[in-house]
Amino acid sequence: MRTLYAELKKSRRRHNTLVAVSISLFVLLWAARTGGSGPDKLSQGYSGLFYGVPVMNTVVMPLGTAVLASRLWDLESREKSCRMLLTLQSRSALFLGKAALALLQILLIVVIESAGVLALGRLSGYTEALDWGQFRWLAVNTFAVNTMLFFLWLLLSIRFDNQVPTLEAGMVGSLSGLFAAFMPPMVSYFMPWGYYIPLSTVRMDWNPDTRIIRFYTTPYPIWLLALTAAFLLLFAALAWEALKRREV
Amino acid sequence: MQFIVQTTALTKRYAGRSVVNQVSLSVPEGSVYGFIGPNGAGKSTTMKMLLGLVKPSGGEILLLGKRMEEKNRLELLRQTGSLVESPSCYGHLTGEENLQIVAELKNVPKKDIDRVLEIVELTGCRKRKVKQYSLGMRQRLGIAQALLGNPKLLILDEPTNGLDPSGIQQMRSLIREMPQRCGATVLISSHLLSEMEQMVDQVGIINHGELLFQGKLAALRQHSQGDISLRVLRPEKALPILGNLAKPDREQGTFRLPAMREELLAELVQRLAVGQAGVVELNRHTRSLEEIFLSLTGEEAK
Repeated sequence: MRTLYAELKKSRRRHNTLVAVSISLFVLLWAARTGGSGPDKLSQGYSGLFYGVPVMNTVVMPLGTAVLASRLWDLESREKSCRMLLTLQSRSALFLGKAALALLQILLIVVIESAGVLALGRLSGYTEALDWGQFRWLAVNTFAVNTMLFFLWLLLSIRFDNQVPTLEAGMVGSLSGLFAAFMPPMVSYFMPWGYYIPLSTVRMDWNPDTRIIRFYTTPYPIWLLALTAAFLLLFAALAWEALKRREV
Repeated sequence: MQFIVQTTALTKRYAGRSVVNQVSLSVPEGSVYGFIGPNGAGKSTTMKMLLGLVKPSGGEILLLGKRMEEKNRLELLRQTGSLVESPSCYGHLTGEENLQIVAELKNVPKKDIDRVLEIVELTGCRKRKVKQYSLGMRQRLGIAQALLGNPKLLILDEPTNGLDPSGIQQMRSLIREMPQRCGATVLISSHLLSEMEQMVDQVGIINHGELLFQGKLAALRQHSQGDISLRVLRPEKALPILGNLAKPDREQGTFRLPAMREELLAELVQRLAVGQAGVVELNRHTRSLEEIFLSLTGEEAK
């Protein structure tokens, strides 16, 4: 708790919470805007969001999580504070403090997104019944992929004192993840930063003649969620190793 | 004498090259110990090893009478304050907020912040963001961070680096008062002996990773006794008395004698007087501490 308190104190006036709120609201508003209009939208409103939010997450979150991770580490590298901190706390406590704060920020993103889905449904008067299973699945996926990406970007931030490589990697991740969504599914499995889309169980069928959009669901890809968790652990272990080996 | 820091054959090697070689430091409790050496001599590496930031390649460290190991490192460092190379302060936070972070991590009551701010004379600027602080103020805030929790030992690595003369003066008086005011032993490093001379009572001189001298400043001053210059009116009478002891100087009637005890010198002068050599001038060449330091470290201007 001490180390988390210290991290919270350090993040004061850094506007990290504002960054987290902004990126989740941006995703929501964008997903809602692209969901179509009219009676069709109302009858498939939630499905539209369950389809649209992962697509927008793919565009926004790799860069968004890179911003969060780099801001979290930039603080220490810019002020060269590791020397002082490591005389007061262990490397593991420093790492866990950063991870705990990041998890809180990611949780905030997921909560805002989830609450936004419910609020949009209520405010827009969706006639479609909310599938709570899909709702929970979206929340779990977003949390898992965001956390995995956070550790990947934290690894880069620790390895390079300059935060530009992390932000560039986040930007490339955003673009390539979206690009992978339009490639055969096999391609997207090799791009963990774009896992939001293959993890989604809502698919879209658009008829160009009738211009009618129909959403349908596929089984939950539990194995892909397990693979995400494995990547998460791998990136967390690598980031921890980088911090352990870091000379101060 | 109780030593608050003791190292035995402390060694650090990087890629087979010794950066610190067999250094055995002994810092007496209650002293201000100056750890002096040119840039790259191994001071910072030694200090980082004392703080557990760099793992030694060999040797042993006794801190506060206990052998420092990974498992008790933080427990020992809780009774130690440090400032290594430059103060680590978060510019976007106020001085007080920076101290709150350290107090939380050290598990020190928040009221201690008022005490340390007063010591470093930053009470009036506590609510100001650190990015608006001058370098001297940042250094003093770094000292305040180190002082939180009433540490028994302060390890300060070049705390006057980059300060202007008035900042150096303030820092010097602050450090000099530490043993009396806070009961802390101070281990301070610098590459300038002249700067240390006015605040330390013990010195350790290091160069190329090896400890060349360690002891009281007064003992170092004893090294300051240099050659003696002797001028006589009748050198032909002085020569048989001086024998091999003296070397004739370029100037007529002047001899150069090696450093010797005062009793021996008095006896020699008496013999010259009896031998009617006509002693007219006797000068002892005294080396400054800076010259001793330079000769010890081999950095004398050639």
